[in-house]
Amino acid sequence: MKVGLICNPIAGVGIFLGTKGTDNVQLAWEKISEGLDPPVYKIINRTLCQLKSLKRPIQFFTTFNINKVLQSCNFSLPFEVCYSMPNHSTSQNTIEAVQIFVEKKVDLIIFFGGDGTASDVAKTAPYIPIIGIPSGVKIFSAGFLHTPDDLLQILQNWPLPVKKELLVDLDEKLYEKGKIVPKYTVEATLPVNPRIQLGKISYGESDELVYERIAERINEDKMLSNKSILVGAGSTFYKIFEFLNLEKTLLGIDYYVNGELRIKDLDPSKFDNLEIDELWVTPIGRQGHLIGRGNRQISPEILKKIGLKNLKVFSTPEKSKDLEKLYIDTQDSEVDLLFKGFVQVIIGYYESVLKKVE
Amino acid sequence: MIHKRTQAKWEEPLILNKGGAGRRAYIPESVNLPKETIPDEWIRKSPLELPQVSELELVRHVVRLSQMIHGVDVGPYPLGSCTMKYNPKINERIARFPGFADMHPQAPEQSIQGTLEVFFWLQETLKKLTGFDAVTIQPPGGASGEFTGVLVIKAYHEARNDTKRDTIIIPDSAHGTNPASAAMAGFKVIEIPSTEDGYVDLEALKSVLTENIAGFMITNPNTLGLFEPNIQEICKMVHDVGGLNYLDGANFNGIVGVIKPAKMGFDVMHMNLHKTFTGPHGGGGPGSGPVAVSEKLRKYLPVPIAAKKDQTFYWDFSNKKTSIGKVHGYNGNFGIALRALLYILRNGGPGLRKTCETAVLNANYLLHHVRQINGLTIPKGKNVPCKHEFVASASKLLKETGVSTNDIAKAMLDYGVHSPTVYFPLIIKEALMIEPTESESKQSLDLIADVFKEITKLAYSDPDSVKNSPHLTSTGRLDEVTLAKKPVLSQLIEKKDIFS
Repeated sequence: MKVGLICNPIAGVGIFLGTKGTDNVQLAWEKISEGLDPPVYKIINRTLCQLKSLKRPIQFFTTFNINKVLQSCNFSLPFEVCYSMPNHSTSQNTIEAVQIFVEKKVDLIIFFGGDGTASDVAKTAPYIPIIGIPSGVKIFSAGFLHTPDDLLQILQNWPLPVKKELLVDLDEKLYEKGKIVPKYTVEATLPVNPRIQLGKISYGESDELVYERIAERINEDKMLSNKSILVGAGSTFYKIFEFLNLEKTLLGIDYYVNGELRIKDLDPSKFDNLEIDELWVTPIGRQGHLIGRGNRQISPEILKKIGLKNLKVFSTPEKSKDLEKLYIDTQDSEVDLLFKGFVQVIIGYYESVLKKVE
Repeated sequence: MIHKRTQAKWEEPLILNKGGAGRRAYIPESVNLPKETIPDEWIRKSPLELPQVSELELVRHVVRLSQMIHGVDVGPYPLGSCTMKYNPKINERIARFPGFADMHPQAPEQSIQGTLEVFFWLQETLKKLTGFDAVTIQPPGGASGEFTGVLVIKAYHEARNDTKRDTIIIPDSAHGTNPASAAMAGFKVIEIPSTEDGYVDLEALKSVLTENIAGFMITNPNTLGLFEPNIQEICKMVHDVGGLNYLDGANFNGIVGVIKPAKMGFDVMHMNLHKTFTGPHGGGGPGSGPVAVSEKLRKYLPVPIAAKKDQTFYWDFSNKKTSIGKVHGYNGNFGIALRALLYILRNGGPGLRKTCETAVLNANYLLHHVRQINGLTIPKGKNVPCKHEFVASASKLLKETGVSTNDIAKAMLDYGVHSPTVYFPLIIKEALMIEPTESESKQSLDLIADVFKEITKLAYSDPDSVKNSPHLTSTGRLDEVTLAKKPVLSQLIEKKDIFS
């Protein structure tokens, strides 16, 4: 089996720029020049180290020396660097690297990045199956692993059935302004497996009562009172909070104390000093992610402090109905484990649905 | 090749548009009520708008209508979880005895000893069949029975000053009315997921069992037709945190005469007399949903209960201080209660056990055949027999041909077979919930299986034909959206245009 492995070195830097993606390449490289350790390196390390248990021969074609990464976990894999990423690489470099993978006739391309990287890879290799390791800020497309820890199982069980699906990327400028305008970019060949996420779908409930009922329950149970709460992003909360007569940003994480909005759209540097009793989240439509998609600014350290018992999940009934399981991708395997189990999803005035978190 | 059935197609107007002025099918005796006894505001100022038809016109009207519908007396009716079994005609004959049919619900006890005796013996037989200690016949239907049962649970906790118990747990394979009944009674509801096999996920259940749990409501056999193998353990887990166990007995036909629900660890259950015990149904009622409870819940049941002292029957109000109150205007839908008692007594215990066993055998025979049909799958309960019903999925057929569960349901009518329950339970995509009941013969079961085979085969060769079915019924596909959003419940209402 031949696998192409590519990494977008600036993936995820947008979190530290306070932006909702990393479309501005120049700003990202400036941030790294200022001393930011590219966040993707940690993810690469975590992902590749699990391959120690790999039971099949794989020849890797890469854009970097993977054994340098694997030193930390004391093993090595056969690889060939077939393209060297220059400093301050751009999407053009991704495209060039993938072209070489195509020439090498790889069976699968694995990339570290987000929706932008996915599009660059797929448009260059539309007929080769691709799998994304979630490393970017925007990860709404289909084809990403639910968590990097799933890669070993995928490779062990290869080949998998594949399907053609349009990838989606959000227009970052509109997204920054709070407008979710999906842009279908390119048709990709994607493996089909429960460990691989589906593309996000927006569930615009036409019945406003759905949101009003949840708001009524929040009021009646005094859920906001005497607590400091981080409330996650998404249109579900945006609409519920309208009925609570409280301001809520569409895409940001906002901080409420005793029912009052204290801080809007928190950036990662602010979290450490906050007292946090609860984290409220809503799953991403059809994907089912609670953490790690659209809210990567919450670090594993903060999540560890909050814990599963202080996580409250809200959803509209339609969105919940299509989700068999929920997913957590905190960027830290140990913290992921803390959140595994069952969680109650509040879907109405009186009704909650229990869902398994994986 | 199966013979199709062509349904009658009459251009039959509504009865108000038939006949002519002055025609009568029945002329009642005149009643000379002294006018001064009726308050003026009660006296009609305009004539009542009644149909004016002769007896022949009336008879032709209802016969024609009856020829344009499907019923259990016409052909198989495998409507899952509705238990559309045959309604014995002897029940109808006895229900028309003047002593029963002409009884006034407010007649004094001494003049309705026979009626009270029916209620009393029905309570006793249901106690025997369920293993519970007390029964009320008052709830007029299944959901009403659920509501009554949940109110009883609430009253129990409240009487013990255990007021923190505000939540009822319900599996996702339960009947859809369960969450609504619990919410109506003021509880919050947590729906828990099923396992891959379709049973209660014990880990999920365990994770929500706290001191806030008032009760656990389960349908067993569940809506997949599967008997919950861990039911005793489940009931114990709920009891261990102080909760009570409620059995939705809508699927009682899958276990009646074989298992007593009280022995499984339940504290309260309702039954649907119109399903398990042959009350005619399908037209929206009347139903009957008696509730049976264990001894500790007896005092919370609605009052009155039919009781017997020496040789006299009477209404027992002795628990009126602790009772949840009345849940129905009078003391239940007597006509259905009477038919149920007739059915139970005529079968006897061994007979009921036999009907249950036959219902289960029939379902498994049909399951065996449906399992082999290309396009249909049985997603749950793969290695176990079903009870009285099973759920197939037409997802594969939809994917491969574009023919949906809804299309199958419509096409079946052309063969003189009613559709199964469709799109329920919600945990199965393109669900077909099939319950043949014990009434159907092997030939009938073969017919149902052949109809599925022929329709699915047609779906692969000529999908449009299935998508445009039915072709031979009195009406084709209805505009279901308008039907749901703007129902015309009577022509009089339509005339007054109350929806505009």
